[in-house]
Amino acid sequence: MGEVDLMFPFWVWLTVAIGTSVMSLVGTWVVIKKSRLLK
Amino acid sequence: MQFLEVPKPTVASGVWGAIAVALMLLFSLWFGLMGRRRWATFDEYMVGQRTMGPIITGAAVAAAYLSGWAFCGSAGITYTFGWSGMWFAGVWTLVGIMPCVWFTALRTRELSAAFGATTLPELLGRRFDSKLLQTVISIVMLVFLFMYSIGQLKAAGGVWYVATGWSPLACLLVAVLVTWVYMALGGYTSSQWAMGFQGAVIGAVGLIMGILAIVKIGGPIGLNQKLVAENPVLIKLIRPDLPKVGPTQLFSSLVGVLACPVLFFTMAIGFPHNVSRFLGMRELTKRDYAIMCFFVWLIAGVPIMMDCAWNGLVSRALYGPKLLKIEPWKADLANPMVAWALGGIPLLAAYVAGLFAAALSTLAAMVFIMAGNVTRDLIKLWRPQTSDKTLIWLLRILLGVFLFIPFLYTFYKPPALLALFMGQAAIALGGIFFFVTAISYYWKRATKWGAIAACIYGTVMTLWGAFQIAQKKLGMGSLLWIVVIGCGICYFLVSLLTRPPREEVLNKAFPQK
Repeated sequence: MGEVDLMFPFWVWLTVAIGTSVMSLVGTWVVIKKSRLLK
Repeated sequence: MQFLEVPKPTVASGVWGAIAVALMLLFSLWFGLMGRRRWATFDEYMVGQRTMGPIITGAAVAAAYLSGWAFCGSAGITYTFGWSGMWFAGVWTLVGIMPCVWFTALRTRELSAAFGATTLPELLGRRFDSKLLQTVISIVMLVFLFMYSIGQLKAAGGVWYVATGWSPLACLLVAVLVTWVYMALGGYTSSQWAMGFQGAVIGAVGLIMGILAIVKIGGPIGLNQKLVAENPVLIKLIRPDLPKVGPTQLFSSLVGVLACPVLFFTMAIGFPHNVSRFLGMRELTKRDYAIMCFFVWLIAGVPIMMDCAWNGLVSRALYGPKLLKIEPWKADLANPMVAWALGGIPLLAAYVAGLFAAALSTLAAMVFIMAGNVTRDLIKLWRPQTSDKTLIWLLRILLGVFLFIPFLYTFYKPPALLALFMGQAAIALGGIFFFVTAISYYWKRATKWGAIAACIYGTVMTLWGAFQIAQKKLGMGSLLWIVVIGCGICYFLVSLLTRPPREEVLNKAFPQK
């Protein structure tokens, strides 16, 4: 089994970790921009 | 292959474990008692003075969300199944908890203040102008929260025994009593403050363990080399070799793997013990809101993603399959044993305290809702002349009862029927309340009959599905799709076929500006 195969699950995990963190940032920014309920 | 010997508890591990848990409980009590005198009426007891700030609210919602299962059981999943277990073991944590904050925080606060509601069923009952709906919602919550709460102390008790070698009876009893004391004295405010502190403990311990685990094992290459050497299937992201019915469907087929993010999404938004954290929140500025979201991400995000996926895998690489042979704890030992291997007794002690924080915070959040369901949503609703004093005393007694039942079940195995439904309660709460709570916050056309239809369908199908899963006739992922899609169809279809609430109620629920 080569090195690429060994790293594959980690890259998937990292993609999800970074992707969902970026999603958190963007979503929060959208709510702050759009919500009428924030002072 | 050479694996580490599984450590045995010593006097030192017992003493340090006891000190760490005692400190966690003492600080929880101290934080909890800060809210002791901040109420004068039953309404204030239930929801405080709606002055809770963003840091405490953010930390409390993360703590309510992260249960003993997240902090212990999920590492056991990756320990047992390898990387394929991560889909169910917390990697999607942010897909659930962040949308929960975006979609429910501000509207929960706005609606509860507008209608003077102090519980979630009351808020929804008034939004739909229906006592019947409030009653149905409170009963459904009571049933599924009860099922979900019974296993909450199990992980804490087991890990305590493994770390200290002492019976968990006295320790859990003290933990439950301390929790009851501050909840009974200070109500919602005390619970929220204690949960905020417990959230900080969970985040800190999770982060330290996650980083140490990666370093210790030599990064992803070092980890995967060891896993492959033991069994190459451990690094597969889907395990077709596992049964495609029952709980393993979540790791063995695309239907199951794709169900995992949907489960996290609906569950976090639908959990009443998460959404209720926003009932007593103060009006937020944009800066406050950003701070709250940051704290939720900080506690429930990265530490849990590392804790759930990495720690279980690192434990497997270090100990091999040895832990699976240790009855009755088996894979639940993955996290405490990795803590022991990474940081010795001090880290193990911190982990035990973190696990108690996770278990107690979720339990307290659920217990407060259950006690509120009985007092506010059933007794006060149908017998409004009941005095505040009576209600507060009854609520205090019920807090004790609902806290004590999971304590009992930790020592006496829950009846098979109840245990059968426990794992599926999260699917039910998510599938039903994603629509009944979150969608109803924004969809004006929703009706009480649509909400009641979703409640009935979700309850019946979950109970049916639990039996099917136990008999290995249905996959857990399939049940999630059946419950979520079905609840959605019932909710939307029945709403469109029935009459919405009165215009004046809708104007209050959906103010123009």
